[in-house]
Amino acid sequence: MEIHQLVVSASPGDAVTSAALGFQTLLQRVGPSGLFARYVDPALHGTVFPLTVYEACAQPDDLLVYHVSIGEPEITRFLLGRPERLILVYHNITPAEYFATLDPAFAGLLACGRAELCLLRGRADMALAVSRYNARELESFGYQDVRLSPLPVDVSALREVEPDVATVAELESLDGPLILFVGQLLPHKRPDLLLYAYHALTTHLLPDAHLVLLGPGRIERYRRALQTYVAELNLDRARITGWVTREQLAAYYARADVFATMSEHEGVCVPLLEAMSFDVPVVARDYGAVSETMGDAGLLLPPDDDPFLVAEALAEVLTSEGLRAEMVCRGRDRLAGIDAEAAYGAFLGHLVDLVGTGAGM
Amino acid sequence: MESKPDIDDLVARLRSRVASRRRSGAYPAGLEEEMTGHFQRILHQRRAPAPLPDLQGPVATAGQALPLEAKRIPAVSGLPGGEVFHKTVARVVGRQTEGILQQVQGFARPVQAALEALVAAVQELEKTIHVDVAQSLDALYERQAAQERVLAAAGFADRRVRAPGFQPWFSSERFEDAFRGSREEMLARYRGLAQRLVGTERVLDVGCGRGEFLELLAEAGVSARGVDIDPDLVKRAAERGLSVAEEDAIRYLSDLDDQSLGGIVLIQVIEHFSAQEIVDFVALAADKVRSGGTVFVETVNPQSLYVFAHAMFLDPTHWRPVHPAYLAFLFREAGFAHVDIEWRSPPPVGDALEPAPPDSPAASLHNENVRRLNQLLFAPQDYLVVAIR
Repeated sequence: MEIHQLVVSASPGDAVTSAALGFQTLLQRVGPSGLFARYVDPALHGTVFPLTVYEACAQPDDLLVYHVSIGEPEITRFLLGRPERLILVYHNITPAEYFATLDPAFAGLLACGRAELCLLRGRADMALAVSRYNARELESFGYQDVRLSPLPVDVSALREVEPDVATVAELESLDGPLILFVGQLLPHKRPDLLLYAYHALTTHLLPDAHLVLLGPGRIERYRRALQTYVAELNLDRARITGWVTREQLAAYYARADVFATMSEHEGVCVPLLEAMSFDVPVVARDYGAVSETMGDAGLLLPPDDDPFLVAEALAEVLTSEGLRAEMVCRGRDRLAGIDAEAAYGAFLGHLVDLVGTGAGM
Repeated sequence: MESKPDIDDLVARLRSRVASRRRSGAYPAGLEEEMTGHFQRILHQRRAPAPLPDLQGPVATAGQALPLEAKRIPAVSGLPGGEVFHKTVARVVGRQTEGILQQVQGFARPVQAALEALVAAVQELEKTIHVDVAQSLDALYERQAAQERVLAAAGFADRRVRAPGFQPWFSSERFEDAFRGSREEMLARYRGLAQRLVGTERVLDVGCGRGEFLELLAEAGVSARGVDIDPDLVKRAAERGLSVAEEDAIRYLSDLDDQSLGGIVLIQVIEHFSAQEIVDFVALAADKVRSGGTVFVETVNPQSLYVFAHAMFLDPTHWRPVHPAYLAFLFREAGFAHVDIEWRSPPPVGDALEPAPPDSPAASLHNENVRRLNQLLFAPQDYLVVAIR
């Protein structure tokens, strides 16, 4: 018996791909274990293999782990026609409506994803969710006995990266506090709301604050609209950077005074934990798995759209030393509760449970 | 995970800070909608600029051909003695070749310069059209929206604009005929009121409608003008030779000189006004009416329940009835020297409850009850505020 993993699309830096690669390292300690994808970024050729390669070496007694974060009819069709046992790992699927007008094809795949989850319900031998929020959603699709298998997040890894010297020097030259957002620049992350709030903040409360929106903008039209918006509001202390190296990312976290996300959909939200690892207080809104990721370590705002409330919250965190110290302290406590080894252990435990119940194992 | 109570307390404190800054006007109302609108326009309505074809490249390549020189004409040849032959020919026709080249050069240099200038201008224009014009348009939209909000907040909004949903297909005149009575009935009903303005100079009839009251004023020898926002009704009144203006009453009044009116009349109009328009109207009336001048405001009486069963909801453009005590208060507060309320239009005889004959048993108690019921249900349908400046 071999254990192999499937993802829809494998690309470097992608959270689901990273998690699968982490599991692969673990699984390879006990035997051969491959990672296969429908779409493979050229940078991962040789590490991740096309789905068709798996078909050539498949054995009916294999165990397949399928990481779900979007729809892909071809993988679902493939899985429904295979005899191998199947474990689903649910990373959550962004609601399609955020992309309905902006990228209808992508919206279609997202909508497909939820439908496919229902199709695979009878096929899956075990369902794992990387957060309680995801587990509740799987249960709402009729899945039973959904188990929690936290993402193995190595919170100290980024902290150990040597920050990029040029970026550090450039950021050090900035006067005034720095607000940082890290994540994809896509509608469900609501970078627009963060810009409204930042506009209110610099107009009324802290005129010298800087804002950095850091992350890939996969939809060019949306990224350009954010850029135009920043230019037209004359937000000359705000910048939108594309995806950066880990060394540069570490430099941004090291300089940041507060981490803010207005995201309306998160299956986990790793950047919140990364920020805490740099002793950066976090401000976010209560959507998806944000509150369970953040614990009591951050300033959790209610799920409404008031840019002034966000601006006041940012100003409070940036100016109240007592509050900052308390948040940093709670952030450290929160991270102490996150253990990548324990997460790997939990994942292995679930596998053993399934394999142990299988005939002939 | 549940958030700790101290975070909830902090959020509550932040919320109340926002609320108090909103109240004080430090945080402008509607900013969120404005910003969302701006972003959505950028995202969905602006077309992405189409990239210009490469103009610089070909122009630069063409520039490399200059200067034109005879020595750049190759003399190489594959034939034996060909090169000597070419050089000899070149020497023989050298003068002519140079002359032609100079002429062509004289043409090519300015053309090249013009092309370069054109490419630069096109690139500059492209930047202006795609970035600057779009920005200016958005800025204009936003300024317009902001001004409309300010006007609306100050009560100067055009009521035709503010209720865009209601666009009846029937004519206002047919409606007036059907429910407010014929012209003759109206004349009879208001003749007495018009007579009370005899001797007054410059009366303004706000919401003059078909102009019956203006006719009565003319009949009484009172100089008057009407204002109404309904173009149909204004047209009809003008056709009858009456002096009328088609405009929003509040705006019309605010444009008049102070103390320029002898009186103002509003007949069944104030119930169409918003709360803001009512207070604005009374303040304007105090400014525009001369000392001793009279304001008549006749409107439906909300103290009569009968009104709610009849007149009030018959007109789909009625906003809300105005309480007589409130209206009288407003005029007094605005500085009118004498304010009085007169009750008008009792319900038709036969609609109200009948008292018992005086000698029947328990008649006095019964009649007192009937009186009270009548007062509640069948009070006069209209009241008239008479305010003297």
